[in-house]
Amino acid sequence: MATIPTPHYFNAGDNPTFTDMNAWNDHVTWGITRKPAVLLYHPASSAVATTNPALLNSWAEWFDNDNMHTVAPNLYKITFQTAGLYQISARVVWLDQPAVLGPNNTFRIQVALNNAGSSVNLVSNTIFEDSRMVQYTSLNPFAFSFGFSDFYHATAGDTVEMWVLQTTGANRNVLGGAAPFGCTFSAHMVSTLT
Amino acid sequence: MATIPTPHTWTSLESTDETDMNNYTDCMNFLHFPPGAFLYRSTGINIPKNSTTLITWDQTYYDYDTCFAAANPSRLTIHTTGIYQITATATCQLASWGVNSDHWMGIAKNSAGAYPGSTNTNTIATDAKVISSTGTPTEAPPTNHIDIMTSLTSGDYIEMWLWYNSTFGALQRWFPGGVSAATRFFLSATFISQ
Repeated sequence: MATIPTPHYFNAGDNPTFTDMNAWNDHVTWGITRKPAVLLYHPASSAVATTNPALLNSWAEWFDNDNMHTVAPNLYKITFQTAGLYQISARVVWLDQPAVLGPNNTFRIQVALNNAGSSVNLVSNTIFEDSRMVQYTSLNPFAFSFGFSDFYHATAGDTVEMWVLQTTGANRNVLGGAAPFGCTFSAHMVSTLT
Repeated sequence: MATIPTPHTWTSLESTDETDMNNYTDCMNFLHFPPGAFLYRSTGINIPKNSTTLITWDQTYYDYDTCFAAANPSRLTIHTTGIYQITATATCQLASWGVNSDHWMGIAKNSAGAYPGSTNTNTIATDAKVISSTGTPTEAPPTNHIDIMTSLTSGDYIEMWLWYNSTFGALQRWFPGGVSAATRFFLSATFISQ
């Protein structure tokens, strides 16, 4: 857990000590260089079966300065170690698009809170979601992808995990590979608001 | 290039001077004006159907690190290494698009003006929307949006690409902006942490 430094508060007649002044150093440098941040990427493409939400569970770290992502079997989640307001971003790239899609084929991303990898639903454990209903009659040349970013006021110990859904009627792969392209999942502290 | 400020480290009984104290001013200024820029267009742009189009910019809403140069109007160039939040939005003006109208946005890094492809490692994020409509919706212009966190090195630059197809029209016009010209068609990057 990151320790958020607290600067000394000066009163009338105070003589600043070097300890007081160095506390100010910690305060300002923490804001510039040490605010908690994690960026995960999916190193390998992964098959997603039709209809049922799938947990993306093999994230690798591009960077992680607050031990928010750990080793197996916890590769699927981000754990907030330091309470605060975070911006969370999730993005997925779908491969293996069929030549004809639809009607009513849905692609979805869900970010679930404190869900421990259990089945996800839109009622009790999803804090953010974005859905696209897609129909087309000829294949376009680009991988279908989308994502979103949102704010969440996290308590130390809160976890988030990313689920994806597609209803095309067949398996589809999500794109993996070296960072920064493909599927990504990230969070960074915006404010120390608690 | 922005210099990431480092405050003076104090020792016992050391007296202050203006240089040491102004280091704190530098730190606070860095926090208030982090490296990054927000680029937008003062005019709309017509994009040919089925043609990946590199977007050029002619205005800056803000630019705290000389990220924009008219000599390379498609580029947002990073001059301070760090973790950045990148946001991009493009809103299309055509309100009637038909079945299988695909609107696609890509953000590429260091691609030298060449479209790298949605599964190429120079592409750091893509966003695609496939829209079907047989009528003429007046309140739903298709908008592509990207919001990601990524790590960038001094000298890296990012660019935006747009592509569309439609059963309507050979050109599609993209908004220069809404209430403010800088709100609906832009590319931005903001330093988050070192």
